[in-house]
Amino acid sequence: MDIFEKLEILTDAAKYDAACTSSGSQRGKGGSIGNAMKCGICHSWSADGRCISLLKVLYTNYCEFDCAFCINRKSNDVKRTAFTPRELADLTINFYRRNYIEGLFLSSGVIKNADYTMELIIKSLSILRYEYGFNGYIHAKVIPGTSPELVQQVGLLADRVSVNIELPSAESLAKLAPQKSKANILTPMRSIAQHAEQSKQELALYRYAPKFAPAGQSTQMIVGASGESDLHILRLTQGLYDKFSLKRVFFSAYIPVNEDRLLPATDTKPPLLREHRLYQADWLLRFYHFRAEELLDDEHTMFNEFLDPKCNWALNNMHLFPVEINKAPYELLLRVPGIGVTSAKRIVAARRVAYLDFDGLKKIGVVLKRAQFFITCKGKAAPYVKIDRDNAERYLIASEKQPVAGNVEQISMFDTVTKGDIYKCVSGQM
Amino acid sequence: MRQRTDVIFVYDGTFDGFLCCVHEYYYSSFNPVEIVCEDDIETSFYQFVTIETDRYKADKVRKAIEEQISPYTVRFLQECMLCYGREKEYHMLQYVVKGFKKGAGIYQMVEDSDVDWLRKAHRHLKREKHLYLGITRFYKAEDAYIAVIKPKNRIVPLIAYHFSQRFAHQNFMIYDAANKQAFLYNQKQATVVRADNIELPPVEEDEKDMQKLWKLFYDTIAIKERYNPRCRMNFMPKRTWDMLPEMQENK
Repeated sequence: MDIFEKLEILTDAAKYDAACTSSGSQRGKGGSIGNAMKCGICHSWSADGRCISLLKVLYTNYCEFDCAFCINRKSNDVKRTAFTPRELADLTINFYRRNYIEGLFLSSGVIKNADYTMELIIKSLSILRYEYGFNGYIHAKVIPGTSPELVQQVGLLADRVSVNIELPSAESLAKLAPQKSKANILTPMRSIAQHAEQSKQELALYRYAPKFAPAGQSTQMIVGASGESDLHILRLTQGLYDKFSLKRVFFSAYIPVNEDRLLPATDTKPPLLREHRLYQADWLLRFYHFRAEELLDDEHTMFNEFLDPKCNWALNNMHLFPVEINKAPYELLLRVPGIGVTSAKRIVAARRVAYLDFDGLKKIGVVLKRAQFFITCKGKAAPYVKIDRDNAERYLIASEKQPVAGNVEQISMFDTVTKGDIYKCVSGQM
Repeated sequence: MRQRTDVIFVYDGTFDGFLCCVHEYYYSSFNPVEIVCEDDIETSFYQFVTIETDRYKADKVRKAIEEQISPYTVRFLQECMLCYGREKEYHMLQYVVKGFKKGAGIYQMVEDSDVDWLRKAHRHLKREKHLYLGITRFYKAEDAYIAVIKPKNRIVPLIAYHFSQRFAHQNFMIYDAANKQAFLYNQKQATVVRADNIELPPVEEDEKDMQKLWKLFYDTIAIKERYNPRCRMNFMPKRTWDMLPEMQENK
């Protein structure tokens, strides 16, 4: 089998991994080729609009595991192949020298057992790092059930390591991925977190101490393959950030690749909107000081389809609004829909030198489309805006997909108008 | 107040040349409605005044900017020189004139139209620079790697450092075909040169295989159920596609 065919098979098998980040690691000195940039660099964008910064391939698609949702499961009849460590290293270097990629993302199917597979991955990465002196970015997957010694080795070679959770609950795992369990996923995760913490302390004492996974740890779970609610997924996500100090949790909308009675039908569309809402909520957890319990509760276990999580939270907490732009603390500004980290910081900086009005807000680049329903400047609301829950909700729903000119109150012709009706009406479907 | 005559300043396109224009503005009774580089003069009703570049005058203005506005302003203006747009020098002059009155705070005065124009142009420059860190594609020809790019802004001096760090042990050239500039690096020396006419070596067969391999990876990695061409174009505008091997049709 030539390298073209191998690359095609092993890329095709790896494409469902969502992560393709190259940020968070600064490498440079020593070595003979490459460096890693703290900011991360995207090198291309594929036809689905996702960025390509790393050569994302599997080491092999032979697999001992039989996970129902996976294209590489043991019981599937697909063409199988494997790279040799040398082939993989040469390919990476050749692509890297032409500036096609920022580095390598190496995952793998399971040959024999987790440890054997991990050793093969470590061998490939060692060739890259030690023999070729490669200093670019490397993201390595850790197979569930890998022993701690190997986890430590791979962490010293890679910039980022990740263990995929895949399914958000122990029951779903038992049902759909019988060889994986909560324990054999969380054990390596915990040991990565411990090694990272230890390395951080060692680096504080001695600056040349080896760095363990300097770009941190991440994970991924599939959304829509099993029955968990958004609340469940978000709580789990929050737990992972709290306990294992993960850098990122990725969500991947389930794309049916196998026919299986335990899974959604093969003609199901991937739940892209749900994935999008989860990412929005994930950002709220990481950058906006939100907690999962604030966004969803036991009565509302799924995100609103028509509104993003932040707008939804704000509408349910109208008693906190409107906030006065010139006085509100930074934390509260962050909670205003339409004001993000950048805008909030700019407001805090600008109001030190001048009393802000709506024109001033526009000039420093704050977008008022959503924010206008939740703020006052010098005690006054924006011109022609009525601060009121129903008004805001109607406008926000309307503006989510298709912006409408102005926000004049629409007189209702019907007694009961549902959100769906309003959405259809303003988007021109009705 | 002095009566100023409307003219067009012509300078040599260097930063020192621009600083001399600032000097001229203060020591003459001209009001420049435009400042143009001597290479792209167009016919105009206004009188042209050629400004000679003088190290002494330039240093004087540079020092004045550093002391009365801020040291960062010099760097900011130097980077603004790389932006595209005919009117950039005019806005830069206004920026300096206003800066002498306002001091370091001038950078924050976004409500001013000149400051706003410059800051937007500068942001565009920085963004394009970052984009090209990713989408500059090299091909191998004998013992050197060659990249051809066509950015709007003159970003070559800005990306040069990054690539000379990353590929410290290979010979390479980045040729900006739109702005006729090239960056040459041979492991010992690094220079940015003006390049009006460069004959580039052809892409060899072996190299074509490597490009095919990359295109194969590119085509395979996309998930067809999530096809979203609009999203791709937002990140990677169509004007950049002809520089990318992965965006060429299979031949």
